[in-house]
Amino acid sequence: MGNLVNREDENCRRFLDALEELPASGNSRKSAEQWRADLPEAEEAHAGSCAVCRTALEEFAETRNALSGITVQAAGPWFAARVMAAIGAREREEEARDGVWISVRRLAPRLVALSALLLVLGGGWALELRNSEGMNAERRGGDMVFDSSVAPAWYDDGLGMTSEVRP
Amino acid sequence: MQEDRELVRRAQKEDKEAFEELVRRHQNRVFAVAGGILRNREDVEDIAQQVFLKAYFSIKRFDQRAAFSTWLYKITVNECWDLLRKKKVRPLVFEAELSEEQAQVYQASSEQSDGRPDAGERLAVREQVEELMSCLDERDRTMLVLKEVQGFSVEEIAEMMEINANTVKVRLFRARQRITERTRRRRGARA
Repeated sequence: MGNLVNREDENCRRFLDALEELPASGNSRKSAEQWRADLPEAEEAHAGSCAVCRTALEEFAETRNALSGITVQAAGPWFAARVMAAIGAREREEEARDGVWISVRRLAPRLVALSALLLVLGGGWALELRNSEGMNAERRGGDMVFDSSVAPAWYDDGLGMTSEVRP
Repeated sequence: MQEDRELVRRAQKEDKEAFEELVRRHQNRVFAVAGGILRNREDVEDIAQQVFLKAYFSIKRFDQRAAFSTWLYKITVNECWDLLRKKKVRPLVFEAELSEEQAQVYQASSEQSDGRPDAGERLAVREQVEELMSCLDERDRTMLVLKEVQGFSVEEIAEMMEINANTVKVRLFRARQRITERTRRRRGARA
């Protein structure tokens, strides 16, 4: 048995590609000659002159005939409806399991927007407050050139205390 | 008719009708892929449902760089291999392994008036095919069934199994050689 896949010949490679392109025959059985007739003209002619490719064609036909007994299973008419019902059930299940978190997740974009708005408003208010306090202080500072505040009586007490503690 | 791409886009926005249309379009091919690996009718149907469920819940992450069908078939292949790993059984569990009652249900539900062989005959044929393919490893067997029975192209199989198209060709070629060898040997033993 020759090894077609290791051959360098371009015609053999094209023959192998053409063989793979042949459509499945379903449950019907076909001989190698019938398959050969389905090949493009050049490949059909090549099969006549190349023994290795002829062997590959026979193996191809033999395998297809051997597998022709397998029937293809198709989806039933209610399959899509069943899938959609299963999706719905899974969603309900997840919703029940997640409970509050589902609504938090749903409201998340709105919560983010609300927080951003509050942050902006709060920030603005704080800035406003700071500015107005600054202006008030300036106004007060303008009235008095020197600091008139008197140091409290206990201001130096700390030093006195430490000296008193000394033995 | 809307393209898959548009339906996927709508499904990503939680449009269930669009997803249902995608299910209708691809259900038979998903059955074919799963059938190529598993073959037990109930397993195939369960896996197909699981595949679509998985696709629905992860469709938002699908970036549409590959075709929707390719993505779906990849999920199918992975789900089938997972099931096989869990079950640790041979991939081909034919109806011959069903209980008598299950086999009767199968027979009743199968096409009886289409002129094709009845369920019993089909089971016998399938058993023979299974015996014939037991010389192949799982991946080669899957490739061969997907190609020769389910009608997938070499490129589709390569994408599904995440291997090179040339590797698929080589493996198919060698698998055919082995099947032929075995068939001829069997024929010789009978003669």
